[in-house]
Amino acid sequence: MNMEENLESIISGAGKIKFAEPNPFLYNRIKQHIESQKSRPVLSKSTIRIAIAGLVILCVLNIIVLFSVNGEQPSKEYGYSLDIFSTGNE
Amino acid sequence: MKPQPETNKEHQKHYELLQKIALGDESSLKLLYDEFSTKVFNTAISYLQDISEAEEITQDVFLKIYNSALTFKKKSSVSTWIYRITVNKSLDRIKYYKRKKRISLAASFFIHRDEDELKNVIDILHPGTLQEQKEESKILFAAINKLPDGQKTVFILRHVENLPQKEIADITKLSVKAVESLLQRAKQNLRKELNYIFNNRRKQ
Repeated sequence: MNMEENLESIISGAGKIKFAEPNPFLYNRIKQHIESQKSRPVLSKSTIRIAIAGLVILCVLNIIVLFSVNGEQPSKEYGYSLDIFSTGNE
Repeated sequence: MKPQPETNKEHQKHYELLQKIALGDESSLKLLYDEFSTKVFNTAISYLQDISEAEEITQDVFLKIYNSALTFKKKSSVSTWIYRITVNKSLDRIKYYKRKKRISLAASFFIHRDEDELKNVIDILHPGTLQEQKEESKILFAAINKLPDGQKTVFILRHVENLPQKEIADITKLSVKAVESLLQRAKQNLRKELNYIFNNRRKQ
């Protein structure tokens, strides 16, 4: 058999591969996964973590914004309580 | 036995099974599993060349079927849909390993590792290979692994899974002409790669 015929026979040999069977217990594993999915809470752990991280970031941003209104330090007159809605004309 | 094209009656039966699965019927999932698990497993093994990886892909595919049965639109046959999930999951897994390999190679510049750990050469035999074709099959799958994703997919589906070109076009969402051209290119590249492997062996 020459080189070209040899290559062709190898390529066409792909079709001669018989089908192999998966592990007979594989379906049980799938079933177990489905069961564990059912008992899992609606919100996954990662979703809860992301939500908490988002809340923390929002709180930090909020505090930064509150302390940097117009670039001024909180007035002692108001006892450090922030009056961000004040126009300064009162 | 190699898969045969789905008839309308079978298509309807599979669709009804899928509708029951969407309602949470596990016995219908088992029936669908009995019919498709071998096809899914063998497609995955042709891509990944690893039995346990192929089993994991099979598991992921059936979990996806169970979770997404409700969203199945009757635009394609159930068989096409299942093959599409299998192909996508297998290609995703290959991408994941390529990424992991790149990262570990980059890390190896900083951390000294055992060379064998990084080699990760695929050298496994398809379990369905006949005894007299074992060597040829090993060479062929080594060459298939080097094909680009598109060419790899059409070659596996056409020549290993024996699917008709029309179904491959539906699975890959390409035209039949595009599938034909990919097949031609896959064969050309396989010939080049096999030539290279044989020449290397002769030199050794």
